[in-house]
Formats: sequence, structure tokens, C-alpha cells
Amino acid sequence: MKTEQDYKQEFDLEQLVKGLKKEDTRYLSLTKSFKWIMGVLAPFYFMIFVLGMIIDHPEIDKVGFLFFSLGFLAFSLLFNSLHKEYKSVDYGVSTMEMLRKAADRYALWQTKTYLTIIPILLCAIGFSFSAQKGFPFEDLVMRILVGFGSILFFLCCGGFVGYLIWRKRQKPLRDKALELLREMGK
Amino acid sequence: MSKLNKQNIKTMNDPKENRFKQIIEENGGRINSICSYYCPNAEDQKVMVQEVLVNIWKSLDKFRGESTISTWIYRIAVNTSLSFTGKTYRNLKLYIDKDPLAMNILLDEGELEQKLKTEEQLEQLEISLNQLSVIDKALISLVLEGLSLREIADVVGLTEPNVKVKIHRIKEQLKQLLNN
Repeated sequence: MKTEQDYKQEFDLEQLVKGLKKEDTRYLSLTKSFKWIMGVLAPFYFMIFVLGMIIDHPEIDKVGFLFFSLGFLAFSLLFNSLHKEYKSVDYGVSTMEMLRKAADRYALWQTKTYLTIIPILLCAIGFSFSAQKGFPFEDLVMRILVGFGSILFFLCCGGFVGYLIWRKRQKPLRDKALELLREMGK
Repeated sequence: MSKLNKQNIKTMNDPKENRFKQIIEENGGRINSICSYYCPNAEDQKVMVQEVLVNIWKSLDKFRGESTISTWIYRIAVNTSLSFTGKTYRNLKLYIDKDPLAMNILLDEGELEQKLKTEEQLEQLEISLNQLSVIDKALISLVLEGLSLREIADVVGLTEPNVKVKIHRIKEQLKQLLNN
């Protein structure tokens, strides 16, 4: 049986542990930074909205800040759940369970996908309210709808690119997991 | 206090690191052995062992002792082998020790004597093993490791009777392949 000493010679165990701990720390600091940014942006935009409505003239474009604030809050909650998901990666479960989880994780339409749409849409609505003055139309509703439509177009393009990436990277992994599950069930 | 001393004290006080090292010390042989079934050369084997070690580290916080440590290690090793070979998993190769004792587990004694006459026949067995499906290869690697049906069932997450049927089926398939 190989001892720790043998592994030290083959792998430089100290170096490996150092690298793993560094990776953990890096991820934790990334999480902290993101939480900090969202924690600042959400109340910041809310303050702009409140101050704009109370002190300045209450205008429709200022409603956009409220949507931005809600969008960042939703991003923060989403990120928190993604962080928990990352932390729950466990290779110590049975092969069946690991494959089932992998198949769920790599599915295109899952709760996470729907939840991601919420903050994106909130920010899109926020943008259409804030940027509506830039559109050369008389009607306010028309300006907001054109703003929302144009951002929705870009989001759909982004979504399509995301779909292509999923199809190239995640779908084969999901197909593989499902194939192995079928094989185990035989 | 010197920087080196501080670092040493930090390491000594890190329970995760201590536990990780203890697990490797006690299960290094298991990890190395299971990886050797999947990797033909020392370099590939080293990469896979390292991958298993990384996954042990990642999963260490979740280990609550619900299964034995050996079952847990085998789970990580088998799950890693399925992920490790992700890109080329269809070509997942099983490499067997040409030790007659290892073969004895797979074949009956009478057949064993007949089949182990030449090294060519052993190679034929290896070729036959590699015609099995990915899951069957994983099961065979655990059989070759000497795990009981109960332990194999715990590792892969199937019921014990199910594992028994599968292994019986694999052995029949192997016999057919060898006869052909």
C-alpha cells in the first residue's frame, strides 16, 4: 500500500493541498466580491429611485432605477443559490445518484434557467424605462415598448448563443449521463 | 514568530488538511489500484490519481461516515473514472493485471487452467473485457478489486440482487466472447 510519503514523492502532496486550498480561497473571495457588488448596487439604485422621486421631479424614467434595484437583488439571490450548488458537488455519492444529478445539472430547461430570466428581464425593463427618452417617438408607451423590444432582441441573440454553447458543451455530458443511467437500469 | 512557523502551525491546525492526508495515507493503495484498471501507462494513471485526490478534497466536507471510508473512496474513484474519461469515455479501456489470481475471480478454476495457458489468451481476455459496456467495465474493475456484491451495490447505487444478475450476465458474456 502506498503511504503518504510515497504520494509525496509522486505528487508533491503539499503542493497539491496548497493548490486546492488556494482554489477554495479564490472561489470564496470571488463569491464575497460578487455579493458585495450586488449588496451595494441593489440599495444604491433603490436610493437613486427614492431620491429621484422625492427630491427631483417624479418622472417615469426614474422607475427604471427601481427595476434595476430589483434586478440586482434577484441576481444576488440567484448567485447565492448557484454558490450553494457549487458547494454541493459531491463525488462521494453512488454512481447512480451522481449520474442523475449530472443529468439534471446539464438539462437546458431547469429551475435555474427560469430563475436566471427574472433578473435579466427586470434589468431589461429598467433599461427600457431609463432609456425611453432616447427614442424618437411621441407616445411614451411606444418608446418604452421599442426600448424593451430592442433589448429583448439582444437578449434573444445572447440566449441563442447560450443555447449553442449548451449544445456543444453540456448536452453531450447530459446525453452521456442519461445513456449510462439507461445502461445501469437494464 | 517566523513566517515558516506560522505556516506550520496553520497546517497543523487545519482539520480538513489533516483528515485529507490521513485518508490518502490509509487508502493510497486502493486509489492507485482502481486507477490502474483504467490507465495503461504510469503518466495517465498519475493524472487520474491526481483527479481522484482533487475530488476527495472537494467531497471531504460532505462525508458524514454513512458508508465505510473504503466504499466512499471507491465511489469517488469510479465516479471520477466516468468523468475523467468523459471526452473519450466511449473508448474507455480496462487494463487488467495479467496475474492469474486476478483472473481467477472472473473465471472458474477449470476454465482458468485452460484459458491461462498462454499470455496471448490473457490478452484476448483483456480485449473481451474492453468490448463490455462502460458500466460493465466499472463493475468488473470492482470485482477485480475483490469487493463483495454488497460493497459493489453500495458503490454504484444498485441493489445487491441487481448487481449479482449483472455480474453473472457479464461473466456469461465474457465466456461467449472468449469462445468466439
